[in-house]
Amino acid sequence: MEKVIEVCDLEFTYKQTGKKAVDRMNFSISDGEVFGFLGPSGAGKTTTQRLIIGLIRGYSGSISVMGKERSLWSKDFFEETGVAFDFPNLYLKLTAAENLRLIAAYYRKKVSDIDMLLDEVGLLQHRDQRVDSFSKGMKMRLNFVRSLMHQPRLMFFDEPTSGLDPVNAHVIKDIILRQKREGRTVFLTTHNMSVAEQLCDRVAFVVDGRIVVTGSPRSLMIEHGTRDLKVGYSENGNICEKLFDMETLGTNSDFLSVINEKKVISLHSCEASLEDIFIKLTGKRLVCE
Amino acid sequence: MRVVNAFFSDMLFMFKQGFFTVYVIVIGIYSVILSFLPDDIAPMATALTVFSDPSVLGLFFIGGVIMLEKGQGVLYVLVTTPLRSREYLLSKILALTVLALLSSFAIAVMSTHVRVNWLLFALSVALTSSFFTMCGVIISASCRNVNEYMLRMVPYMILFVLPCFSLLGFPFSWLFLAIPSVAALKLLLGAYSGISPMLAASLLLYLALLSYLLFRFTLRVFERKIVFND
Amino acid sequence: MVYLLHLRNDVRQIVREPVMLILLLAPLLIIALFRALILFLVPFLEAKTGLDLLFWSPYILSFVLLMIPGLLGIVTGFMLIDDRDGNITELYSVTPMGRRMYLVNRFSLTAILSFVYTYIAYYVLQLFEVPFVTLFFLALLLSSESVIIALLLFKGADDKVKGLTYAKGLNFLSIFAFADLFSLKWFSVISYLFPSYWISFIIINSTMPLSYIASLVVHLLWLVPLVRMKK
Repeated sequence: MEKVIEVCDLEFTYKQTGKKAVDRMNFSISDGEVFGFLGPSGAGKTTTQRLIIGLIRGYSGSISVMGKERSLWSKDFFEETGVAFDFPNLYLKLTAAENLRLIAAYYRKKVSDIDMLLDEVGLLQHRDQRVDSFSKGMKMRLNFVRSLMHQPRLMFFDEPTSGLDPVNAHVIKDIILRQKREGRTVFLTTHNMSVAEQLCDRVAFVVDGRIVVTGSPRSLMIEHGTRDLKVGYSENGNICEKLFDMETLGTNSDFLSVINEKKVISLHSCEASLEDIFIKLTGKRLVCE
Repeated sequence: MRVVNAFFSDMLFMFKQGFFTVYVIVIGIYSVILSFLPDDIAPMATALTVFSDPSVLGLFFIGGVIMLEKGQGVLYVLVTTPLRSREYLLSKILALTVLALLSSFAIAVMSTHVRVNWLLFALSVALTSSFFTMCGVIISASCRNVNEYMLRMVPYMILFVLPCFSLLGFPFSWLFLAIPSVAALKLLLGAYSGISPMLAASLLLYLALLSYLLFRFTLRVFERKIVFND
Repeated sequence: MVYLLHLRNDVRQIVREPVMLILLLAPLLIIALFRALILFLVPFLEAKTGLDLLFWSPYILSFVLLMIPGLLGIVTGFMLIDDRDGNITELYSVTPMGRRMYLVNRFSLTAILSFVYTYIAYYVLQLFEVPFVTLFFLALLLSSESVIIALLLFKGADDKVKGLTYAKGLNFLSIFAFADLFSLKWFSVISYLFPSYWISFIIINSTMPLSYIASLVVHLLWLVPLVRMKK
């Protein structure tokens, strides 16, 4: 499959602090893929993303985006890309529609219908309201649709659901999934496991500026888990738990007697959670939201 | 096209922030005061008023505009659109210069009825305005708040305003024409009291060249300190 | 007591920021500059053109005196606007100090400085003699004026840019101090409503008891609604 982003031996050191934020990083993202950078804050996720977007300059190694080295791209790069930061950057004195129209004017491409965009994120009835009266969730939603109104081929989201309540987070996740169905490529960063699990085709674990492992969430969870089934049941008023090997469940008499004779309360397969894998591989915790 | 769109949104922004309203009041006050002056000094006083207020308003406002866009984060969104930094700056300079021209003309027209070389007047105001607006961009690049901005404006004022007194005339005062603000004031006064075409043309050329070089420099400072912050 | 403690902390905070320190000391420079102008420019102009600027001494004194609260008020106003843009005002409203105390502190500093600088300006410039009581009264009016200007800026402007536009307009408020010079009846009448008018009026008419009452009323008419205004 065609690679939209290919990063080779990428390194970057902040001049002011002398901190090496990105250290020999290698990865690639295919066309139509949702790729997630997962890691604790300060791991270098955002720095890498910003290097690819072109907000920070002075890297070594190579970043090839849509077939061209990033440093050789002109501003036309942004005709094909959409960016949404983790903080809503909006003109507070302008209305929702004015905010979209103002930015839309800078693209050569014709942008999507503004009312339709606002409707998608439930802001249509607020289109002529000034943004300073919006709640944080509304601002984030508006900020988010702004990044996709010119139908970019490649999108960057930095912590797309950070600080949002479950309802707003759900709206955002839905839109990202729709982008994926429409065949767009998405590169996001997050420290939220469930976001990574629900959205990403592949994730990369990032710690101290390096990628520790890359893979699909599902395959990582199976690979690093055990093939056991955990059964919870009640016996004489007490709650008990037992582990059984999944390979031999059908012939395991112990298991069959529990299932047949006891009151079963819960059944869990023991694949690892992304959080477990992260701790196992890096010795570090992701920060819980 | 992008720069035109940027220009119109900057004008809209300035309008919403009340720039035009304030300048209507400012123009009114100046016109009242100037109309009180005796006829022999009114033209010169008008030229000096235009030079000291409307034509340098860019310096006063650009810092606030850039710091606000930086603070609200919209600058970082503009950076991720196809809008080029040079287009961003150009549109801001143009918008403020249009405001400068409009208010300068209003003051000049309402205050005196002498013959004025309007072309020279407009060119001199436009060059002064863009020059000082660019200074404002450079100052704001390293400022965190308005008070700091106002303080950092002072050295520029001293450097560019004080030498203007050289036009009162003393030996070697022509040397001061190398300072852009003095050259611009010389042109503006020339629009009222006459100036040799040769001198006017060379001063205009000189200021245009300086503005171009300053624009290149401003662009570099803007990208280095505001856009990439490296 | 608690109030004094807060004020001291506030002063410490401001003094550590060099920008603020310079701006708060700027009136001293202005006073020095005008002293120099009086010493050198006035005789020079008189010798060259025969124009004696000292003829307008009370007006020049008013101009300098008005510049001080103008400058301090605008600096304080911008400090508050910047704090608000950075959500610091909100931060204070959840501390024991409270939002009100925070504002009171900022304004007291401006008011106290305006009061002190008024005396310094008067004695350094030696432009025009006013009775001791009048000077005290003037210092009080001018401190309230610095608070009025800071409040006008802070409550009128919702962000930095609007602040700059307002500051531009506020610069012109001192023009009312010179209203009587234009000898236009309507202009003088409008000026009665502006605090700056009464500064020069009292300096010139220090023996007229009514002028004290009128000026106090006008200042309070501006100050009280501004203080009570919710925003």
